[in-house]
Amino acid sequence: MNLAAAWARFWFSNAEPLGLIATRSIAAVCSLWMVLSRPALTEVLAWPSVAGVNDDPMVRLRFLSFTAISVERLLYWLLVTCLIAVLIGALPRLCSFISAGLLYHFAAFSNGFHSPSSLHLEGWTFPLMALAIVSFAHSVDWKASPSPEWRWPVLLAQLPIVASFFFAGISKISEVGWRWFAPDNMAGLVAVMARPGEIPPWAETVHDSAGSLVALAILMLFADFAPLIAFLFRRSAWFLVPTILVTHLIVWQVFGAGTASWPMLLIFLDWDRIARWGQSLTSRRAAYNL
Amino acid sequence: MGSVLRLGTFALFLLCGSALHLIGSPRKRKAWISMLAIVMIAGYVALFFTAREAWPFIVSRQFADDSRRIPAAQRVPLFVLFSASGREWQVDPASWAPLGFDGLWRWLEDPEIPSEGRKDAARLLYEKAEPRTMPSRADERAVGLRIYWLHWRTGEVPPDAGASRRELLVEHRE
Repeated sequence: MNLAAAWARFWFSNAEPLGLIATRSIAAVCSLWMVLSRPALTEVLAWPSVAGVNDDPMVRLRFLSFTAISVERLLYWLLVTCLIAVLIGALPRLCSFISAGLLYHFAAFSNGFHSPSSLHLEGWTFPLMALAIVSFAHSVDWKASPSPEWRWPVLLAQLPIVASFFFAGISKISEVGWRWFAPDNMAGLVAVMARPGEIPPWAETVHDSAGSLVALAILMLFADFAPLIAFLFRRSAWFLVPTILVTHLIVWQVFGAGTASWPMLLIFLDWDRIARWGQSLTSRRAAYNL
Repeated sequence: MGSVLRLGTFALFLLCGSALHLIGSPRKRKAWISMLAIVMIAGYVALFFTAREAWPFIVSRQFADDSRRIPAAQRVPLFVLFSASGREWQVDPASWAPLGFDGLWRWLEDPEIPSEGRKDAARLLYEKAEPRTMPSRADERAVGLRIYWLHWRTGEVPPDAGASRRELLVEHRE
C-alpha cells in the first residue's frame, strides 16, 4: 500500500457520528469546568496594574482584551451559553467556533495577563483546539450514516494532545538521555517538587523506594508516547487511555502537578466500537420486546 | 510584534479551517484537510526544535530535567497574614483567583521591580487575602501581609526544616 492510500485510509475512512459528538461534548464539558470554576475570571480587569497583573499591553493585544469589564462579563456568559449549546447540540458548529474564540480570549485572564507560557498547564489548550476543529466539520447528528466527515475532525482534535505528549517524551530523551530513568534522577525531581510545607501525598514513599522511582519513570515515559499509539491504533485506546489517566493520577500525587484537561484523553476511545455496542444493545432490547 | 504574530497564527488557523465550509467537492475537501493536518504536524515539529512559545499550539517539555543540574538551593515565595500580636497564617492561594501562584512567583523573580511596586502589590494582595486556616481566637484578626522568600535545600523528602530560612521581601501593614 502506498503512503497516499494509507494516509487517505487513516484520515478518511468511514466513522460513526458518535466519535464527533463525543469529542465536541467532552471538549464542551471540559471547557465548562474550566470556565465555571473561575467565576471571577473577568474581575481581574478591575485589579490595578500591580504584581504584573494587567500591565502588559502586548499580552492584552494578543488576547484581544480591550473592552470594558461589563462587556467582558457579558462575553463570559455568552461563552457559558455557547458551551451549553455545544453540549446539547444546538447550533453546534457556530457555538463551537464562538466558544473556541472566547476560550482563547479568556485564557489570559486566568493568570492576570502575566505570561501565556504556562496556559497549557491550566487546561485551556486541548478543549479550545478541539472546539475550533469541531467547528470546521460538517454538522452531525445521532442518526447520521457513517462518513469520513465524522472521522477526520476527531483525529485532528487528537493531534495537539499527541504532539504535546510525544514531544514531552522526546525532550526527556534528547535533553537528559536514558539517565532520565535512573532512580537518582527521579528522586531528585521528586525532591525538588516537595517544598517545605507543600509535600505531595505520595512523594516521600516514592522518593525512598528505588523500585517505585524506576516504575514511575517508565510509566511517565509510557504516558508520553501512549497518545501517539492510541492515535495510530484506535483499538489500543481501551488499554492505553485508562493507563495514561492512572499515570497522571500518580504523577499528581507524587509531584503535585497535573493538568485540568485530562478528560480530553477520552476522545481517544474507539467511539465506533462503542456506537456498535450501543446499536447491538438497542437491537437486542427491541428483539426481546417483540 | 511577537504577540501580533501569535494572534495572527491562531486567526489564520481558524480561517483555514473555516474555509472548509466553502469547499463542496469531496476531493478538494480531502486535499484541504490533508494540508491542514500536514501544516499542523509540521508546525508542532518546528515548535519542538525552535522551543518557541506559540500558545495555543504547544509542545510540552514537562519534567525533561536532569536533577543533577537543578541547584540544591531553591526558593519559593511565601505569603503570610499576621496579627497585631505577631501570629501568622499562610494565605489560601485561592484568595487571588483566577490569578495563580505561578504568575505571582514569576513576577516576584523579576529583579527590576521597584520596591514601591512590591509594596503596592502587597497592599492589593492583602486586601484580597484569606487565611488558609481560620484564626483560633475570634478576636484575633490579620493586620497585614508579609511576602517572604522561603529558602530551602532540595534533596530530601520531606526537606530538612533546619536548612530552610525566611527572607522578608515586603511587608504591608494596615
